[in-house]
Amino acid sequence: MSEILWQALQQVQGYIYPNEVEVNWSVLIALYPYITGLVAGAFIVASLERIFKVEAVKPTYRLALLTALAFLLAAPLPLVAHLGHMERALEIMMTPHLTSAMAGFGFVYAWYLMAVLLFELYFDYRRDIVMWAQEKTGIKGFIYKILTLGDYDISENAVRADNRIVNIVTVIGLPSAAFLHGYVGFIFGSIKANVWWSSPLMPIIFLFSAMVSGIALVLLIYIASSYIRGVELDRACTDTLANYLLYAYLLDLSLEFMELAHLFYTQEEGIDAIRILIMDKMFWTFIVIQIFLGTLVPIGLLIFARTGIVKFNIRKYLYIFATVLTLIGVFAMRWNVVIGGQLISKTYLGYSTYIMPLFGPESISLALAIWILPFIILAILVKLLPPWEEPHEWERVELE
Amino acid sequence: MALFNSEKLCEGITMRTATKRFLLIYLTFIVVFLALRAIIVPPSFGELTDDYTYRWFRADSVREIMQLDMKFASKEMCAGCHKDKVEFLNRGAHSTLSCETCHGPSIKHVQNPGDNLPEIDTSRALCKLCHEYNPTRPEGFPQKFTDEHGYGRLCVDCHNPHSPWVFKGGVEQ
Repeated sequence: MSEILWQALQQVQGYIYPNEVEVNWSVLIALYPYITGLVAGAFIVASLERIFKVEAVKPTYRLALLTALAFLLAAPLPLVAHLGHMERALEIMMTPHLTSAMAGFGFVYAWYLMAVLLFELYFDYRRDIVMWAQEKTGIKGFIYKILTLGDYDISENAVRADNRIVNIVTVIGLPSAAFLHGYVGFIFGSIKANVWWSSPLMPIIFLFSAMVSGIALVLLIYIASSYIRGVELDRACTDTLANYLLYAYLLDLSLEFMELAHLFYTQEEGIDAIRILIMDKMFWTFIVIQIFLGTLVPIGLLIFARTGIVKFNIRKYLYIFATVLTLIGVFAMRWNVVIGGQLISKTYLGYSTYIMPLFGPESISLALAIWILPFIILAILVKLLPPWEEPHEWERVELE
Repeated sequence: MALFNSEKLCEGITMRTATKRFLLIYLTFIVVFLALRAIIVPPSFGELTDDYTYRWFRADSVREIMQLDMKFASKEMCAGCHKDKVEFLNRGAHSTLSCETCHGPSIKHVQNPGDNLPEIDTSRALCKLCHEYNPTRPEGFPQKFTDEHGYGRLCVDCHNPHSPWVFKGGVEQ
């Protein structure tokens, strides 16, 4: 008997089925919808500028795209690590099984990476890549030269054509991003036997919390990167992003409320088990972290910042505080869905306990490593494809 | 005729070098993937099914498994020769167990009774498989693996494994 199973066995409460003792979908599976949500959210921030023409958020457009790519590259890692046999991940591509909801992620992911993000990034950056290829030397210059694909045409017509491609791809990309994360909610929402998961609202709730976390992440990265670069924050951009964060938050909160109201109004079988799950087993992660610290406090902070009572310099810290709480709160939401749904027994008469090891597979250290990885990827991407709107060398001469 | 003006038609479908090469990379990727897939996916994959629902595996694996040597004989086969033992077993608390659970796989013994006597595992570890403490087991199920019971002796020193409530040495419960 494995050590975790033995420990969990001793903490079983009430009557549960034998296969419910060990919580098999671990912290890694909670991390997976979290990272995927950040991808979808960051892409939606990018499309604010492209589709909805919100000019104020322009400084974060490329940053949001790069963030989406960095997190997208890390998104399958929790799943692959959880799988144990990494090489088997390719089976869903090699022998695609169209009725498997789980395999769906492979297709949605491949579509989103290949048909949306890479397209949009490449044609958005093409003009700059060509310019960098002519400016830079060494390894970096070599990489840019490869990336130009041998086409140095950056005439007005070419740039306009690039822009047209990006616009089309963004229009395709928005529903794709929604689908990417709606899919994750669908996986949980369509598990009929689990009262805590089974709900048609699940994909929509996941989508809105994804937008919340994505906007918060882009805002936080934008503030942090400006600090690192020693550049003034664009006030309009920061405030506009914070406003969108607030709107997304209000929608997210009302959806969450609707879900809980539905659960408690219909009083379906298993509601007593859910009541204990919320009030006792997940009191800290659900009531305290997700609802209070992760939702109500950031909403309060954002509303307070919006009133304009405080100056931008203080508002900035309110935003930092609110976004960090948001990121923690949204992770708590994923945790409460993934882990919470497994703590509750299908007998409705008992609970198991989740034990998270410090090291080894499915451990907190592995989850942390996977969580840090996208930031490293992002740092490399930012070095290679600077998202800041800086003039090129010869443009600088002209400007002077 | 203007509709079929070849020059116009060509202009409509001209693609810039960058777009062309970008799409070419994708095409290469897809072709390489399909080529790899043709090599990696076993030829008999999915042969036993005509939709995506069941038998989504390599059909040859079934044929290979069918070629493997049998190991177990089954309780009915044992009853053919050891009728009294099986009847005694069926009257006791272990009636649902198969002979080969403790006696081990015995097809060779059936084929050649003289030479291949099955090995009997009499260790405590074997009994532990069912009788170790586990809260998910039904109430009243004997879960005796505590230090107080047995003092490290073999279970079969006292219990008759064919009918555990019959004790050896004439002890009655």
